Amino acid sequence: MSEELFSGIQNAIVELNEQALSDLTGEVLAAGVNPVKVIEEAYTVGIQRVGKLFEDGDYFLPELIAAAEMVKDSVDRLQKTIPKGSIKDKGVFLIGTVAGDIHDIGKNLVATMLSTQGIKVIDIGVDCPVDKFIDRALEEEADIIGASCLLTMTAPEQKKLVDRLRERGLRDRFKVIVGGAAVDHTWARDIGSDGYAADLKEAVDVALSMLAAGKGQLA
Amino acid sequence: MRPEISFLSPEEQERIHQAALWLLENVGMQMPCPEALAIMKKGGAKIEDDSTAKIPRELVQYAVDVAPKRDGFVLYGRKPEDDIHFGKDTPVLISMASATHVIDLDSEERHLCTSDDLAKLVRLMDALPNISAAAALANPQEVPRSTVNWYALAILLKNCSKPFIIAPPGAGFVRDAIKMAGLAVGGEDKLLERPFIYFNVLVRCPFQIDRLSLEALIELCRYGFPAILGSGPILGATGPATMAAGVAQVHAEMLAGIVLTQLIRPGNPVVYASTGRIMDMRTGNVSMAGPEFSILKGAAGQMGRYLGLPVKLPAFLRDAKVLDAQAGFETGTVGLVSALAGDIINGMQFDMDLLVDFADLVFSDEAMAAIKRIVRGFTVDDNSLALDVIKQVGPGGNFLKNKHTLRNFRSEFWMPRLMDRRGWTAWYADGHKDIAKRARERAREILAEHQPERLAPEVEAELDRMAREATISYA
Repeated sequence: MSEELFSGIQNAIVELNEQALSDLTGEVLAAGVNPVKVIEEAYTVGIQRVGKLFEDGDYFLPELIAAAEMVKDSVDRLQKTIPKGSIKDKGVFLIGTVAGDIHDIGKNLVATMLSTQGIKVIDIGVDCPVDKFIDRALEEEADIIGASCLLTMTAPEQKKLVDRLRERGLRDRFKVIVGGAAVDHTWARDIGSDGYAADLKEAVDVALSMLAAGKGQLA
Repeated sequence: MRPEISFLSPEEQERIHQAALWLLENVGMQMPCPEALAIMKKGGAKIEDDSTAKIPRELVQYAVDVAPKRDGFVLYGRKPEDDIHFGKDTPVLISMASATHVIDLDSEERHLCTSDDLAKLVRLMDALPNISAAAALANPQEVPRSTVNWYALAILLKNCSKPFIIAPPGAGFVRDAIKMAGLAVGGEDKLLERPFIYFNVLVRCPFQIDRLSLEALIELCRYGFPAILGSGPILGATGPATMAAGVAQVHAEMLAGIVLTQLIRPGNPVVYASTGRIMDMRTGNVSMAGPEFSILKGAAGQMGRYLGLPVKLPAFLRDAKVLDAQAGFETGTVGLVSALAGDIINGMQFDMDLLVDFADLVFSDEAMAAIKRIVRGFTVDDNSLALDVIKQVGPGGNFLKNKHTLRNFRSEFWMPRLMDRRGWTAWYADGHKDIAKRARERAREILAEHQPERLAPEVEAELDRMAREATISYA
C-alpha cells in the first residue's frame, strides 16, 4: 500500500496537483504511516523530481515554487502530528536581506528551495541590520546565516556582518553565505565569508554541503 | 490584436496598384512561350511582337476576383500535423533553396555542398519545430548539374515529411515531381488530395517570365497545384532605384502571373511572393538583409494583402558570412518586419544566398520562435487584466507565488532554448560559449538523434533511379 501511496504523492507533486496531494496527505495521516519515512521517501523525492525538471528546462520558476509550497503545506500538516524534535532537520538556515535593501524576490526563492531540502529556514525579512542577523541566529541556534543584497551600495553590509560576528566573538559559531545580484565569488572571499551562491541550485548545494560537513569541522 | 506593419497608407496602396495596372497595359509581360501567349490572348490580353502580353485592367480584376483568398488557405504536409493553415499557424519559417556551399558541421570550413550535406540539412529541418517546410536549402554539387532538382527532390522525399517547395525547371519536372512525390504517399491520387510539394515560379525581372518557368506554371496549374509566384527585382539593376517604383514593379509582375494562373485554371491557388532587393553600389553585389530589404518586404506584404492573397517573403537571408552579430541583426530586423507583413517567411542562407550553416538552422528556429511570439501579440480580457490578482497581491507584494502567474506564464512568456539568460558566472562556468557554438552543438545532437520517417527501400531506390535518369532540354 505504502509504495503506491508514496508514488502517488510524488506524482501529485510533479503534476502540481494540489488537491490530490492534500488528499494523499490525509491518507498518510489516516493510515498512520511513519511521517519521517514518508517525508524522506515521498515528499522529498517528489520535490527532487521537480528540481530535475527545472534543471532540464522543462519546468520554470512558478512551477518550482508551486511544488515547493505544496510540499511545505503537507509537511507542516504531518509535523503537527508528531512530537517536536522527532524529525531531525539537516540544519537551521537563517536568511535575510541586508540593511538599506528591500529586495527579496531572490532571497524568498532561496528560502523556499532550502525549506524543501529538510533544512529549517528562518526568514527574517528585508532591511535587516547586522545585529538583527546575529541576535536572531543565536536565538534560533542557526548553523548558517545567509545575507542577501541586490544593490552595490548595500553590499558592504555583508562585510559588516562578517566583521561584527568577529567583534562579538561569534565568527566560528556560524557559517556565512552571501548572495545577490551585485556580488560574486571574489567579493565573498574578500570579505571573509564562508560561501557564495549565484543561483538557487548553488544556494542549495552550498548549504547542503556545509551542513553535511558538520558543525565545527568546516574549513 | 495581432500586430501588423505598414509602410503604405491605404491611399498609397491604391496608387501603387493603379501604377501596376498602368505598367501591365503599357509595358506588359514578356512571355516567350507560345502556349502561354495563346492563353493570355484568349483571355483578352493584347500580344505584341509575338512575345509580350499587354494586360487590360479588367482582365487583372477578373483574375484577382477568382484567385483563392488567404483565409482558409492550407499548405499540406505529408502528415496532417504538418499542415500550415494560413491565419492560424502563420507566420511560419520555411527553407530557401539553391545555395552552393555549406559550412562543415565538424571542421567548420566552407565547402561545396554534397548530397550527404543536403540530406543532413533536410533532416535537421525535419526535426526543428519552427521550420515548417523544407526545400533544397543548398544544391548538391557532385551530381549532374542540369538535373540537380531531381536529385534534390529525391533527397527531400527521403529525409523529411514536412511540406516542401521546389523550383520546377520545365513541365517535365512538374510531371516527374508529381510521380516521385506520389510514390512517397502511395499514389498520385493521394498526392493530389493533399499536395505536399509546392512549386515556386520566379519572374525574370524586369517584366519577363522564361519559357521553362511558363511551361512549368501551365503544367502545375492544370494539375491544380498551388503556384508560388515570386518577383525579386534588384533595385538599381533589374528594377528602378526608388522603393515606390520597385514595389509597383513587383506588384505588376505578380499580377501578370496571377492572370496567367487564373486563365489556365480559374480558382487555382496562388501565393504572392517578393524578393525585392537592392544592388549594393559599392560592390555590385545584391543586398538581401539591409534596411531596404525590410522596407521592400513590408510594402510587398501589404500589396499582397491588398489583394487578399497569402504572402511569402524571403527574410532570413543574410549578407553576413557566418553566424555573427551582423547575422543576428539582419535576422532580427528583416525577420520581424517580414513576419509582421507576411504569412510565410523563408531563408536560412548567408553570403547572398550561396552559403548555409547547420548551426544557423538551429539559430533560425529559435529566432522564428521568438518572432512568432511577438506577432501573436496579446489579448485583453478579464483574465489577462487580472485586476483581482493585483488587488489580492497588493502594494509591495510578489506575484511569483500567485496561481495567476502559474496558470498564465507559459502562454504569455516565450521560453528560449538557445538564447542564454543565465548570469555571467553560470554561463562562464558552462564553457562560455557564444550562440553560434551552442547552435552548432545542438545541430550535432539533433543529427545524432533524429531519424526521419523512412520510405520503403524499394520506393527510395525508385526515387534515386528517377533522379539518375532525368533529362532536361533547354533548346
